[in-house]
Amino acid sequence: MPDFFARKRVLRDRSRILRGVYEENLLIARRGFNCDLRRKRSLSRRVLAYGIVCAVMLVLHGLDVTPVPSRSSDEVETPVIATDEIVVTASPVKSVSVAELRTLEQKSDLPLSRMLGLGIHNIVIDAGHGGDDLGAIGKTGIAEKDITLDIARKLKARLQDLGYPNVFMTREDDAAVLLAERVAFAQSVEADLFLSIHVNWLPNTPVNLIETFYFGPSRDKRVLELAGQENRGSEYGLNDFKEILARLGTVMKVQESKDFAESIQKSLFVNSSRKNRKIRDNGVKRAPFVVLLGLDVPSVLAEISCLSNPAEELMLKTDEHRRDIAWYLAEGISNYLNTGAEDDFQ
Amino acid sequence: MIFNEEQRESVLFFGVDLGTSRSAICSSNGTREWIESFVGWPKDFIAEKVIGKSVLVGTEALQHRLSLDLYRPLDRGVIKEGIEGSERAVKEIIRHLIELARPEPGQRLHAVVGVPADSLKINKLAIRRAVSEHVHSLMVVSEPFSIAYGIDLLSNCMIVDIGAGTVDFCVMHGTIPSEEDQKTIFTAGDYVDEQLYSLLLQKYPNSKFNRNMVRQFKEQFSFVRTIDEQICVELPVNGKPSIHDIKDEIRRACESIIPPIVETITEMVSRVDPEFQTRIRKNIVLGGGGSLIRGIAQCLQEELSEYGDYQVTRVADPLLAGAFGALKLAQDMPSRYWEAL
Ligand SMILES: Nc1ncnc2c1ncn2[C@@H]1O[C@H](COP(=O)(O)OP(=O)(O)O)[C@@H](O)[C@H]1O
Ligand SMILES: [Zn+2]
Repeated sequence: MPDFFARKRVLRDRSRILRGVYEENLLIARRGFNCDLRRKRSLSRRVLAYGIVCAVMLVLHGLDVTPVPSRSSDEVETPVIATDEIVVTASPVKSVSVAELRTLEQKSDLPLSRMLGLGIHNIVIDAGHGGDDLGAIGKTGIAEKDITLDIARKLKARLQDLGYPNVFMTREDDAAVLLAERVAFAQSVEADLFLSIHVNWLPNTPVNLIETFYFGPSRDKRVLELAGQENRGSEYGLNDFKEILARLGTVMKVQESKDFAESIQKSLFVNSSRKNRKIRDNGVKRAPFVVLLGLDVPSVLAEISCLSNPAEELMLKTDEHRRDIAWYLAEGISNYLNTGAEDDFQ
Repeated sequence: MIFNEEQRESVLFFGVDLGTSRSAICSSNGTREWIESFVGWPKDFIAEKVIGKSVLVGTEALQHRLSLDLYRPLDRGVIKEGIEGSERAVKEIIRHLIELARPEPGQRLHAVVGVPADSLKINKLAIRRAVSEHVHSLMVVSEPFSIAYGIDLLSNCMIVDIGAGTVDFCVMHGTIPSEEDQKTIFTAGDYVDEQLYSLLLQKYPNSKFNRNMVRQFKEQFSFVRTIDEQICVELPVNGKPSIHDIKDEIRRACESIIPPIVETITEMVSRVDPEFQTRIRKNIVLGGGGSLIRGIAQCLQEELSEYGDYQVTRVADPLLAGAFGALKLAQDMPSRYWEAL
């Protein structure tokens, strides 16, 4: 008898999977179709799409964490972050119509800037810490805030050399800037991409590792239940909604941030490991960092290496090493942006 | 499953694994082949005359690399130099693989193509565009997923696909894997090559060898932990070819990818609903060229035993497992789905 049930489960899994593969491919194929349409879409429709995007981003934000100031909203609430448990509050947008969701779903594989047909990239570089906030301090006294600022400056110069003119820094000198101010700044320059630079500190181990973070929604049951409640007015049932949210959540900001994070991580690690065979790849991870929260564009935070590693600290004191790291970051950014460009290739 | 005889006859199903370093095909008429994922076009008119072909694929392309513009189309490094070239190169690889399967004239071609899970490497839309020229109906899936499907492990397992540029991890839950179920790290085959290269360079600073040679040493001798054989190769040291023992270097280079894989497996398992963790631990399956490293499954299992009762195995034919799973997907797919695409 158990055998019978096991077989039945396999068959059920299999047909679910086949259907999933089919639906996913239908979506990709449809995207190809939309790509062509997109070229002909008028500006007013772009603006409309943008409005819907903002609205849904707000819903998504509302589900993930407390909403943060966003360009399309006058209501400003204080961001609340819980590290262990995601805090859930009501979202400012009560319901989204089925049609709106469908439109979004069809386009949701495209990065936001691309969805709006914007060609120029505004890149915001965030040098971690600053002013009184020193960040980590090495044994020889070198401070994280100084390393991040220098790398940010070098990165900006490198990106401009590579043909990205619109690079902005959340701080240009040793100033204390609040996290919320950094987010607000990125919004004010209409960032398309946000990269925050930090140096790791591991108190209990001498290893040197690289890791990159992005922010993403949660699988928390409570969050999904709330989604059901918030959207009771819409024609979708909780299950449909879950699916759409999962798709939107993954393919829009989250998928993009993850792709961006992977590109940064890959370039940092592959290049760094050529120089230092002992450095470790800690991969791309999700985490609730405040600076990554408030933006509806791909946002990542890179821990470029570990200041707690004595050899690395000595290296970080050299101009050459900091320049190398800046160049690796630039390569990661440029690789990421070039992948996206494939969309426009016919 | 019941097929209409006629319909069955007129369709050739195939599964393709489009890899960074190797690409493979399995088809319903029995073809099972792999090639190196290299495509090259003669650099100029003279080169074309000498070679006698306008495009070369696989080993042939590698052999003539000096007179070719060479592409490894799924490699990000190359995409930078020309997106257009990469897409053309993918088309050539597909065309070449389909030729290997010898479809009959007039046969409908239904393909499932597995691509690296690392979404960066590949734009699924671009792949669809490149492939659809040669087939009637097409589906694109991610690589570790097609391996899982091929061996009927649809739930409660984790696939670890050790490729050239990436190791792709994928937890199966009986549905198509979501973003959360997948992870990619970069300490893979190419990384082992880099390590071995620098270890050999340290030991023989006056010797001449390139990365290609180093990769061949690795593929011939790779192992972790211990084996009872000597590993000696001929190296030109100080200009004179002589025999050298590189066993220790091979071992150290191969073992360098163990810790990050162990760490990622434990991290991903810990994220799974505790109810299923035990079953997944007993079902870790390795695939990809890197799983051919001798002793790697055993070694991972031992390292993992610190974190629970793990069982690690390897798929039967790592270089073809992806293409095989893709073929199985193609054959299992209801025909109404094929029609709609
Ligand atoms: N016998 C072997 N021992 C160790 N590594 C191997 C062996 N055979 C192939 N490889 C490595 O496996 C990688 C290719 O694996 P594959 O699954 O084909 O990757 P991809 O899908 O990325 O092309 C390469 O790095 C290759 O050197
Ligand atoms: Zn910091």
